[in-house]
Amino acid sequence: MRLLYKLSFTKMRKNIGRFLSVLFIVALGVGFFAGLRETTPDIETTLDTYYDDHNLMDFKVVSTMGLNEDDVSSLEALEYVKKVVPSYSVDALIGGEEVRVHAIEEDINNVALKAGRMPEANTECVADHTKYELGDTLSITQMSTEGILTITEYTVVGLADSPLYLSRQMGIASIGTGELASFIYVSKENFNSEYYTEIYLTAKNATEEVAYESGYENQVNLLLAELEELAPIRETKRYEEILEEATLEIRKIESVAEKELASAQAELDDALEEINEGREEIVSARGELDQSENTLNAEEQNGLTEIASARNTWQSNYDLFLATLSSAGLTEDTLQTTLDTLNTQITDMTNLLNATSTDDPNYAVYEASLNSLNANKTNLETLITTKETLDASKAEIDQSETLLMNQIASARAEIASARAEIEASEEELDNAYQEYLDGLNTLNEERANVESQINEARLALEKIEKPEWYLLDRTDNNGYSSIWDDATKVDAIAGIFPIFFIVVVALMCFNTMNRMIEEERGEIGILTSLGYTNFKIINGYLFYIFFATVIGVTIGLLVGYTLIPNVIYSIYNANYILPSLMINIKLLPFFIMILITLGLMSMIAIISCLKELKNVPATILRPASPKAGKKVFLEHIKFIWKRLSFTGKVTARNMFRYKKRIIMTVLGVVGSTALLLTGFGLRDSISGLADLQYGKINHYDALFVFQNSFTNLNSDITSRLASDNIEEYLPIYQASFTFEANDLSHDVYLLVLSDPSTIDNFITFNSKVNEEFAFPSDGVVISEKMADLLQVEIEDFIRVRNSSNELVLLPVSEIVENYTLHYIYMTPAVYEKYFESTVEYNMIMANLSDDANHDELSRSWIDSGLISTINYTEDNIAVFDNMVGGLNLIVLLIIGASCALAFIVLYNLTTINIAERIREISTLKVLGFYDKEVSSYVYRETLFLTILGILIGLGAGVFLHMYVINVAETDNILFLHDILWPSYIYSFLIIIFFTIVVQIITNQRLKKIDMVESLKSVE
Amino acid sequence: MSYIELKNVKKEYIMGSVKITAAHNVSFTIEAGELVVILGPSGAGKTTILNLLGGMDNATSGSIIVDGLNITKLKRKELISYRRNSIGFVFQFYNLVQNLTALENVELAVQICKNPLDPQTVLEQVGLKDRINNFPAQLSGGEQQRVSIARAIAKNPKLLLCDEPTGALDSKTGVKILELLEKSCREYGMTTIIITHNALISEIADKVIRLKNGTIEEIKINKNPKDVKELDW
Repeated sequence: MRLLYKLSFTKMRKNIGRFLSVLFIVALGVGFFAGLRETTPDIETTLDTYYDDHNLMDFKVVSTMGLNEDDVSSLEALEYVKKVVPSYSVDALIGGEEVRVHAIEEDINNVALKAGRMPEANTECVADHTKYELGDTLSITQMSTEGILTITEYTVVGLADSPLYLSRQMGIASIGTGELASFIYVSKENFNSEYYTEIYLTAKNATEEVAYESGYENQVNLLLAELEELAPIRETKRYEEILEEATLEIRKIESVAEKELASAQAELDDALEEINEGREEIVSARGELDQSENTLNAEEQNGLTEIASARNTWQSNYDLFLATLSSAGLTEDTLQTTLDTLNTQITDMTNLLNATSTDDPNYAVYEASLNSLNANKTNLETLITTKETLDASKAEIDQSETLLMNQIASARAEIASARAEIEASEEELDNAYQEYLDGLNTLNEERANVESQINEARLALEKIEKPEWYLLDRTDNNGYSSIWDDATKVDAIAGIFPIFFIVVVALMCFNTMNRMIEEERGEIGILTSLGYTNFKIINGYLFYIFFATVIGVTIGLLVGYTLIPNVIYSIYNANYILPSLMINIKLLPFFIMILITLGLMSMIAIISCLKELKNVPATILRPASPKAGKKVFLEHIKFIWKRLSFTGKVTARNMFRYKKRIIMTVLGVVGSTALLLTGFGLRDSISGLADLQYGKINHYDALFVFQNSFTNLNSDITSRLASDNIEEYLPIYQASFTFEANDLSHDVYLLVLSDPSTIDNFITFNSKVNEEFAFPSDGVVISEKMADLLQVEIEDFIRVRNSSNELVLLPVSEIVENYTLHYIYMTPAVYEKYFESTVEYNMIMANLSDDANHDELSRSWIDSGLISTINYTEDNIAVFDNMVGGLNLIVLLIIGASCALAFIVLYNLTTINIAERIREISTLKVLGFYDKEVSSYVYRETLFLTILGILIGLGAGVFLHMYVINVAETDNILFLHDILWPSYIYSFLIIIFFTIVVQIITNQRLKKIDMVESLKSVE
Repeated sequence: MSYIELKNVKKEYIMGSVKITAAHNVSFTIEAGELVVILGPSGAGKTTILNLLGGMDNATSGSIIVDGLNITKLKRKELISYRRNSIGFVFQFYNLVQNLTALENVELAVQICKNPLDPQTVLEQVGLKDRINNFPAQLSGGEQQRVSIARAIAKNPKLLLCDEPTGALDSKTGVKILELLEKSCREYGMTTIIITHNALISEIADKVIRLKNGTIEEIKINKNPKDVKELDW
């Protein structure tokens, strides 16, 4: 027995190529199979551990009206709840980007710190490590709930991943463009809010279960059932609370208003009273005045009468005086002169008298004249006195008249001014009254106002909607479901490839073992004839198999388990932010794999051995009769056969002679080629996408995201747009919405185009349903993948939700070609019809001149404060390429594996071919065939078969590719279904290359064949 | 100078650490058109000599001159050319390509040489006119050997090397094969070397070279070689 084992070792050593080829076939098959099979479980374990380590919530409760302590305590009272963590979050704009700000919680949704530390001060934050750097200052310019954060500037002290954000597409923000771009975590103290914005929950015993598995689902469903029961209760309760609060509020407002109105009324009443009093006073004042005026008039009359009588008296006296005068021959005016003349006469007379002695006769005359003169003088003087008296009394009368007149005038003036005063106060009163009326009016208006306000408030109260609870599970996390979806997709792909591999590998092994045993027929014969039992002989081969298998499986599993899951996982890094993969090598499957492979291989060995051993030893000892040559059917087709060269005929014969090997070769090559073409085809399906999507479909150059929405562009902007390298532009409204398909939520961009007639300059629509695309005026245009996912056709309605979870139904009028992301396009009119509001544009689609400098353009526009950012389509291509770049790895993996498969298959079959035909080859050599001729004689058929295999393989590859595409297509990417012709050529050339490489390698063996020995020896 | 001349030919094989001398000090000459039998028990070095003469192996030392060409000095490719144009082989186990008909087997050899004979004619001459389109498996051992001989002759070689051509045949068929070889030697004037352990066959040879333990024991020239029919089996 021991000798047989030794023999096995010798066989391994002597034909190390064969041993290694069996070993590597096993390794390749097992490695590929196990690696692909293990990928999904590894990802699951990794993710589950990540979720558990970071206390990912099981549920998040949000409400349209926020949540309060009562909500918290009622949640805490649930049976299947483990943790209830009320918390806050708010969407904010930081540097023009939409960022969700979370409150740091102790034991829920903990971040995975990548660098730095957790915040210690309220002004510090932990931020998304993919977006920010340590030490960055983040300044919040806008919040979805203004004022909820007391601090708006934060310093990044830690960089982290969050289990809440697996996908790089983070979801919908209720601010900015509606597309969430990043997240930060700040201290909970920073939130200033009466209510919680969300409550996180974990379910009892859910951590112990593995995420995505039914065990987990069952556990969380227990809690979900409770939550669903609780939700309406809390909704109602909260509704009632709000209602009560509001009613109270209204009452309060009502009473305050009533009070105010009443006091205003009282004031007005007072004012009116005062006015009335004033009016009465005026009436009485007026009466008094009239009276005094009457008195004055009477007084005047009296005075005037008195003066008149005085004047009459004076007049009669005067007339008397005048009469006296005129009787004296005098006038008033001559009185004085007469007196003066008289005085002069008297003086002269006196003088004459004095000069005349008393004795003078004249004296007496003189004296008598003088006396008469004096008598005249006395008379005259009496007259003068009378005149003076008369003059005085006239003056007196005049004076008293003037006095009277003055008195009367001043009295009258007084009265007039009093009257003016009265009139003024009357006017004042009138004004006051007007004021009063106005006041009354205002009051009445106010009253009506208050009443209507209160009525409105009452109506509003009636209209207050019940708060709605949203119970969000982990799938709210954008990546949670989709990564699993993607991972299971790998499982699906993993499903076909390994089966394919295992079949080819099993066939290869079978072939090799078969050949080995056939070659060792003589040895088996000797052993049998020496009396070794079949069991022991088979055992010897099993030993060989055991070594090859155990080593092969071990290598295959170790490499497969580590390499393949990592390669596939790295693909997801493009779309997801993930922890590093945990490779688990589970011992049980490991051994099962060894056992199964061992079993399979042993079966192969036993079958092959038994085929020989069923003969009696004598027969076994004799050389196996060579396979008889036969005419092939082709020979009956004379015109072809005649045209074949001699070697062509030989090749044709050989191909039909070794059917098994031929089938194997063709199958192997078909498989490798199909895989290879699938690999290259996948690359075509992916790599052409960015060009198509961003070159042919969305061919606008840039999107200007505005700070403020607008209905019409103001002149400031239009003048700016007129310069600055902008060739043409189109205002649009773009927002993120979601739709649900296959239990998954998908993001979709909704675009309202201000002028659909010019859209051709920016986006080219190719209708998938109509010959010609025409922008519909009655419905929306949706992208084809969305239509696929929703399985809708024209005239169906689609359901989309905005960031506040409000549902909108839109009719589909067109479905257009689109490869990445989902889009809904519509005219402003359609938007207005279905959203019941006027569209406000928030972006501008623009085509730039070729020489536009993007950086400068961005800077100048952003500095202008008009826009928050410019998205360049060119960058999208890079982002997209990055996103699908990972898939290129899987393509490489497939290409690598198929190359390995091609190599092993070709190597194996070629070696067997050579071994089987060693006598024939020796004969050729002896006959003097040059090495090249021998090679071409041997390889011609391999080459022919390879080419045949390639051709069939290319055909099969088309189908395999189609299948893989269908399986691998993610929900937001539509792969191209065509394989480009270079891929056919590459696949062809690569297989040919391997054929040639294998032939170069085996050619050495061919050269070394000892022709003499092989010719002489019994086969 | 003889047509074929071997001088002090020595052949050593290195098997691991052991050196095996298969032939040493072998010298003989053969004239054109001669029928030579190399005789000896197994292990005497017959096949080694044949291999060296047939250009399938290089001598360790000494010289082998065939028609003025020293084949011990030839490179791999030159050796092949030598085999291709100058040598015809007939083996114990015929070594026909199973997948080719009798005619095709001959054609296989013929298509690569310089002055071949017509395969059809040669096959007719070896008496296989009716079996031309048969596959080896459909032929008897003797018939297969005839195809093998036809294949060798059709190449029109300088030297026909036959390694135990009758070894796998019954005596009656063996005689027929020997007849054929003798005939070809005499009729075509083809220098023929037959290697055998059967001493009887040596009687038909012009020259008999007896080998033992890798050296020449005796070279005997038959003045009057027997006709095959005269052999007493």
